[in-house]
Amino acid sequence: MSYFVTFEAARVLVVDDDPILREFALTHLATPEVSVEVAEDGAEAWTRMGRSTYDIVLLDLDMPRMDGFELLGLMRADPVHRHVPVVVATGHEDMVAVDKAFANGATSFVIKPLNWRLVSHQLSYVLKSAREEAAVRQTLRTLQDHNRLRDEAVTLALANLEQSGQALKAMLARPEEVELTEAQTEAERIVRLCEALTQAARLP
Amino acid sequence: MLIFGGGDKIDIADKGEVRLTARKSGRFAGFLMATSRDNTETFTIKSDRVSQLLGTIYIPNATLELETAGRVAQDSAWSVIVARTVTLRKDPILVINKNYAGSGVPVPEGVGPNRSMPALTQ
Repeated sequence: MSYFVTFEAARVLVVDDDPILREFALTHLATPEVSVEVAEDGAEAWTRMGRSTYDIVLLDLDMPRMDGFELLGLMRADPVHRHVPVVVATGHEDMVAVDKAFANGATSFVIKPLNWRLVSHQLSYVLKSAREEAAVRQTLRTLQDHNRLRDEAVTLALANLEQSGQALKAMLARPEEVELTEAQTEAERIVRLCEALTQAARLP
Repeated sequence: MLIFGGGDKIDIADKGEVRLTARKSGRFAGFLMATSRDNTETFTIKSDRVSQLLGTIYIPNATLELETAGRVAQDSAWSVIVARTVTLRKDPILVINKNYAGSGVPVPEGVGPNRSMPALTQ
């Protein structure tokens, strides 16, 4: 029986050295929309992450070969997996481990023995938050790109405006030598630059 | 095979008649019962009619408590128990046979004949 019935599509990686717990994870978390893969330690998980990406990770901390802390460190240092949410699973009495896991980049935690209904809700909530956070990051990147482009446009327009201003100033210094069409062209250029600056200022 | 999560357990009460044989093939072949390591529950057998427990009971951090005056698992070709604690009350007779060959149930690696010597740990 699965509790992920209303959960959006996701790829979940469960990392635990307990084979029975991995079996439960497959039974309780997998649905037609949610695919679950398991790894028996951090080393196997890291190998899997080299081949594919996951939307969320449920991670045990105490494991042979590579423990959960080391895997967390590798993930947070890697540009591909840096933002993948990680829910750590640990025992009641292991609050020091929880503190250390958060310091290493854990997103949330669940307490063993695991209540799979609560685990499902927790994973669902954390994944939803992570996706919203990713959307905000994307919006921020888009805005930063817009701002950069606008800054470049404004800088260019100001440089051209300054150039036109100097040209106009030179014409005013010797009006008898200035052709009417030449003055009109320069004035029109200034108008266009002012319009471009006004438009840039109005962009969101 | 019976698989138990962290907070699950089984309680075989007074007259419960139980004969269990582990899987003979496939995943977890040779296992009769298994728990995840976060299970610290107490599994109780209070019935004197639990005559067959053929296979491996793997409850590494849980307690197996026998509370009956009768015999338990006496009809099993072999039994292996991996538990944090085994508690016997009311003077039960827990029969651990070791006829590993011929039952058709494979013995998991690391226990039974696959160990060089029986060892009591912890």
